[in-house]
Amino acid sequence: MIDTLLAGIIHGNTYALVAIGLSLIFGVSNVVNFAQGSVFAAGTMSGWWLIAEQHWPLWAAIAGVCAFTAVLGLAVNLLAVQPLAKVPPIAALLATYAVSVVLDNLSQVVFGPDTRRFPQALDTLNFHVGGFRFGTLDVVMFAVSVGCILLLGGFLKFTKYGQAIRATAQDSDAALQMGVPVGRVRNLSFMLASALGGLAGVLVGMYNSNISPSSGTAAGLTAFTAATLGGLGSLPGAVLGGLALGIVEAFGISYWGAGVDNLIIFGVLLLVLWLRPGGLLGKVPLISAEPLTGTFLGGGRPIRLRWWQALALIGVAAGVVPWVADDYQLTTGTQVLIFAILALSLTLVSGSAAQISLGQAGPMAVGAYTSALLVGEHGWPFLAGLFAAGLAAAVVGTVLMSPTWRLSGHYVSIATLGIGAVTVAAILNLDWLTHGPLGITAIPPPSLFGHQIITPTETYLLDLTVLLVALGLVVRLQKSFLGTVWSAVGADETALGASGLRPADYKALAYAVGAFVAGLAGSLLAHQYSYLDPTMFSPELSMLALTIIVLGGMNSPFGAVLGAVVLVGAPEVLRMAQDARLLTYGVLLLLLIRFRPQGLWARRA
Amino acid sequence: MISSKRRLLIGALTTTSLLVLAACGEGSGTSADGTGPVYFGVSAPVTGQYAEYGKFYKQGFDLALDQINADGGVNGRKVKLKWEDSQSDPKQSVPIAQKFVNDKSIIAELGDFSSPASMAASPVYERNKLVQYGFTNSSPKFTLGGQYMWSPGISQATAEVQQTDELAKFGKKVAVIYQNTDWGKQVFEIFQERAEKLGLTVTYSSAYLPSTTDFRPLLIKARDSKPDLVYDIGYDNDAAAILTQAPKAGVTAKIFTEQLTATGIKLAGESAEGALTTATWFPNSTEPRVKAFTKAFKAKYGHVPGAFEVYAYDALTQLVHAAKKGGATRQGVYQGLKSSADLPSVQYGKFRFQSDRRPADPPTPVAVIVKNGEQVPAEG
Repeated sequence: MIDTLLAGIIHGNTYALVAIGLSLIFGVSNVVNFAQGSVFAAGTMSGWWLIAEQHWPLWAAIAGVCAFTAVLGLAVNLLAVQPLAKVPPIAALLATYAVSVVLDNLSQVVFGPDTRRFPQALDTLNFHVGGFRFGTLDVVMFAVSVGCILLLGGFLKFTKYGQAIRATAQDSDAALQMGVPVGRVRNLSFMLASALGGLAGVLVGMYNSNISPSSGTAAGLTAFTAATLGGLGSLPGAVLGGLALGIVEAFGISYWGAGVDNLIIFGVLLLVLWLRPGGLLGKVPLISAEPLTGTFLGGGRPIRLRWWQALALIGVAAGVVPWVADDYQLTTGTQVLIFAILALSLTLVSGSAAQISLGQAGPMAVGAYTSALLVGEHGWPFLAGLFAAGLAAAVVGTVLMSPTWRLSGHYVSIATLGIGAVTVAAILNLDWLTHGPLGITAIPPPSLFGHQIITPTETYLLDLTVLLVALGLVVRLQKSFLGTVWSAVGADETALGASGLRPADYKALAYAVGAFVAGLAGSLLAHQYSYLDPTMFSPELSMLALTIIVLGGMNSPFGAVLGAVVLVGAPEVLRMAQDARLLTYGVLLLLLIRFRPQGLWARRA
Repeated sequence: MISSKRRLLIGALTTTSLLVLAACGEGSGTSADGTGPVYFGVSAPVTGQYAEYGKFYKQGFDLALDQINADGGVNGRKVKLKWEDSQSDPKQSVPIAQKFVNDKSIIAELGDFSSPASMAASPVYERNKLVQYGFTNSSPKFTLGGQYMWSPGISQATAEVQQTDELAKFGKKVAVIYQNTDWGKQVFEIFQERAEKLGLTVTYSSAYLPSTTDFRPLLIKARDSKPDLVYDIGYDNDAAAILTQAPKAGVTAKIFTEQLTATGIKLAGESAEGALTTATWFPNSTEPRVKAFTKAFKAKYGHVPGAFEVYAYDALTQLVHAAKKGGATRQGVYQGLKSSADLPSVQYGKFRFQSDRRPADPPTPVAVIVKNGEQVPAEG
């Protein structure tokens, strides 16, 4: 018991160290910094290099790493966050995501992808409690966390710079008017948070002992949960949240085995959001402080296609492309189409109603599995399976999300992140239904009226048809009264509530429609791949869907299609760039977000 | 402001140019005309979270290429590889499959790394009759995907039974932790069945996510169940983490891992001492074929090979052998694999495929233990 508790505290401490930086930046800039995990990983790799390859002593290596990551943090702020201060904050979130892609891949190119051993510069076995042994390293980590709260807390409370940071966090315009150099203050806080991330990288690297350039992303996601649990923006909360999460995880694993690890972590996230969204130490802030809402109408207006233009495009897509393109291009085309449908599922919920969903992989997975099981194992006809897939996804999604609609802004988004992860974790663990990690094999190809759809051309045409149906649905809904209400939800929820309608219900409806469409995409995916397993529905998939509509223009259904062409088609085109492929993709994304945040298919209003 | 008509034009131009670029970038599909190099396609993770495995593959392939081409290649023609980075992502491995299938100069495909990436692409390879050599795809369902899905990996049904038999020599009470993947789960189930037959007691068992870095809570539970052995069903990276963390959790039992090669031993450092596993080959083996291979690998790369480098090396040498036997064409490789009785392998010596497209009668692995950083045969 004690051992498990100790193990949980020590591991939870590693979460806390990364979460502190996240909370600091969030508190000051109102930005969820997705690059924090990558900066942390950069700290681990550079720390390894300094200690193992350059043979620096530990204290010098730490100093070097902190200096390096502070500069990285400054770069992140200057390149990705500061320039996007005037546009909807979702753009800054996606920009930091793009930066994380660039950093992770750069790290892999520079250091090579292998897992390697972080030198054990601090003792790890010199103390013991009962049978459980720990060491200087663990004590140091704990001291750092506590020290952070005390020192940083003191810094923020008592020094001039600290007060400047707090002033900027509270109201940056007022601070500017009072003579606070807001730009410099933001830079300082990014540098501070990133240096902390670097320090965390060195300590956690030593703790894990197996390190590789790709270990940052998972750390970032768990730290995010920890920070939310503690209350985003609160430093003591970040530490408390990290420790609490570690303890809950350790006991959960102890009772149920470690297969449910993700289920525990994201389950905790959801519980926090349902019961106490402000976290343990935070307060639920006013809507005006929400970083992930914003009137996206202000960001740009979608370009409307005339009916004959739309018809022409459909004609080209359906009539010309199958003749001109070869099988490879058509296969790429089917991927583009499936992801266009997935992205389309976000247009109503995240575009019109401005509820940013970070977990569309969840409904897609439900749809894929439903269709695979019903058609593959129970002999349902394909069209029935397709429809059932959408329906199941909509029902499951609605049920899981229903407690969260009374919240708003970033809490909703975090909840969608949790839902996406919990859905996949549940699929992994519900062996009797889904075969768990074994996945489903030999899923039959779609069959319409006795004819099997196997060739790339036929698959392309089938996917195109489903896309057109989904497009028709979304466009029609957007133009209807319902669409107007959704836009009202996105523009000003309070006003909508004041006019007698309940925003929560409409948000739920928008999400349900979105989940239905995502389920359709899932079904198409399952029957094309003929194989499904839970690992295919990762957080990266959800981020891809979101990135597609941001790129295309969040409110625009056609923008979703355009975004899919660019983001799913381009990596195939970029295959020529081989090693630098993902790097190029990240840079491209960053440039697009930076210079055209309203999306491709929108006019600047 | 640009008018919407102009925008439409710009959009159409962009789309067209993207398609054109794709067509150019793809490279011409030259037909296998009997002269010029012989090509094999490789679908593997070069970037992304599995990139280190792609690197291991490359090392194995490159060593094989050196030797094959020095030996005259296939009937005098040089052997070359066409690599495509799939990131082991089915979204990418499927178009890559289509690309390879279109390219008539490619006579067989190697990879992909993970089951989803390979199995999602199987329908494409099967429809177009191109051999898909999934040499690290251990899912039993992989070869069921079609006639053209082949895997030189031993079926777990055989391998795990053999490993359990060896494991039984070292202890009667076993605490087991296993990866929550298709492979890990299947291996665990086979282990359980065999353990029951042999009269072993499973004192504790738990699955874990492959991304787990902290095994302490599990190891504490395992320790508390008082086993003779802690058995890990995972790869080198997991084994190394477990070996490093076990002393911290106060585990005194011996540790037996499903896989442990030079890669894992290097990662675990001194914690690897005394770690047990079974292997059909290990660098210190006295078998001439293993000695020759280890020597060549060390000469080229400066360190001892781990598991995945060997798998890749074996896979390419086998395909080349098949091409030499059946002809340097797609059907030739297929027939060659089907009919060869003496496919070369560092791991098993010579073997042939059985009708389920997995190796027939693979050799029994032996128990090995880590002494002074190297694996030597172990006594139970």
